[in-house]
Amino acid sequence: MNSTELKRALLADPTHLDPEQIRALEQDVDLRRYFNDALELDGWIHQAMEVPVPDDLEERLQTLNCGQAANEVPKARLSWLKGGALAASLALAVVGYQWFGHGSLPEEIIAHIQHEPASLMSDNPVDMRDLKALLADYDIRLKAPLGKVTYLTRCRVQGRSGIHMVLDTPQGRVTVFLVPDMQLDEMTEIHGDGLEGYALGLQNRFAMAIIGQTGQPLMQVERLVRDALAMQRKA
Amino acid sequence: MNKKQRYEQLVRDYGADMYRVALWLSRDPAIADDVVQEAYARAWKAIDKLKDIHAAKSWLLTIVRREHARLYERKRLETVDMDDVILEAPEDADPARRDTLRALRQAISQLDDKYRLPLVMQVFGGYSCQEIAEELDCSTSAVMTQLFRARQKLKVALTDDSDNGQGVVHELY
Repeated sequence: MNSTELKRALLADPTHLDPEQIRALEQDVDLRRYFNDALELDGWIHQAMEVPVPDDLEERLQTLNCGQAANEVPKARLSWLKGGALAASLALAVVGYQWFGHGSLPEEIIAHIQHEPASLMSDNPVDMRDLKALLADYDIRLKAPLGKVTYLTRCRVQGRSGIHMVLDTPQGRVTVFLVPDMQLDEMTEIHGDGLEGYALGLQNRFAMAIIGQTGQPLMQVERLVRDALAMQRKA
Repeated sequence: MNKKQRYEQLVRDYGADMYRVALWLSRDPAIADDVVQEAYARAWKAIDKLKDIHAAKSWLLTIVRREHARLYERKRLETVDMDDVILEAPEDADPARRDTLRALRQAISQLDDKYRLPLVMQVFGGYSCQEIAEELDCSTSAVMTQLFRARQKLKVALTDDSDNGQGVVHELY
């Protein structure tokens, strides 16, 4: 694949990288810059397409099969939409890998990272406003600098919506998952496919998983995250 | 997990995204609502056929796509301009960001169907080019070309908007 073909492929689909593309990105600074721009565009596209959804959509879909046959679904038009009822806020994060929550937590975390190789390739820092907005969605406040965040997305872990981010640290890229309403009573080791880390509970409300390359020191990152984030209690 | 519980999980996990898929395919909120309701009604009837729960999102997306085609594609509705409510970005976003998102949404809604469909499948289904090609029964290279051109057009929309002060995405040619 020549440089033009590589660029076409990277722009067309920056999130599914094959080994040849990864090798080329590791060796070519210009191509890597191009790729980072393609990833940034991808992020904007995801944000733009994540339009607000009617507030009562889930309720209406849930009741489709309760008390009425499916073929009796009312065909009511959405006049309330025209009335400007769409006040739901736009989620700023890219929708990440949707894992259906099967398998153990370590297995799921490793599979999740494997499924998003692009998460570890981005060089561009995430906009601080995006970071704060996404954290706020989970009742988390940024109280101290978190360092350079190069990847940020909303994702599902063990069936729960959470945050997937990558920090560019002096020790290398470290992936952090924050999953609300998930308690872990003890530290759980995570390892596989050249990745290593652990998951633990935070303030009896969050599970946090930290994963780096095998042998990479992670304690400093854990401390950094603990110092930077304030998990606010739900009202 | 019984049938009702499985269905409820499909709604909870994917209902919002399936509505968005229907909306970007139809570019009309009322049609999107009809499509997603019909699609979930079909999903309820056929849920016993969903053997691999890991494939649920892909399965639903296919139902939504086919339901949209069945109900509306042939009617060739003139719905090029999306409702202002849908194009509008949240009020709490900063002005430059709001303008950028609005410009991008407008550009996405104006993409040809042949570009917008693979883009919707890619964004909401997480499909690779090859997987989209298999779903649409066309070649991988054709899908890659469609996505490349779609993203080029969207990049132009962002570049035009950046001329108004929002610096985004620089060199994608």
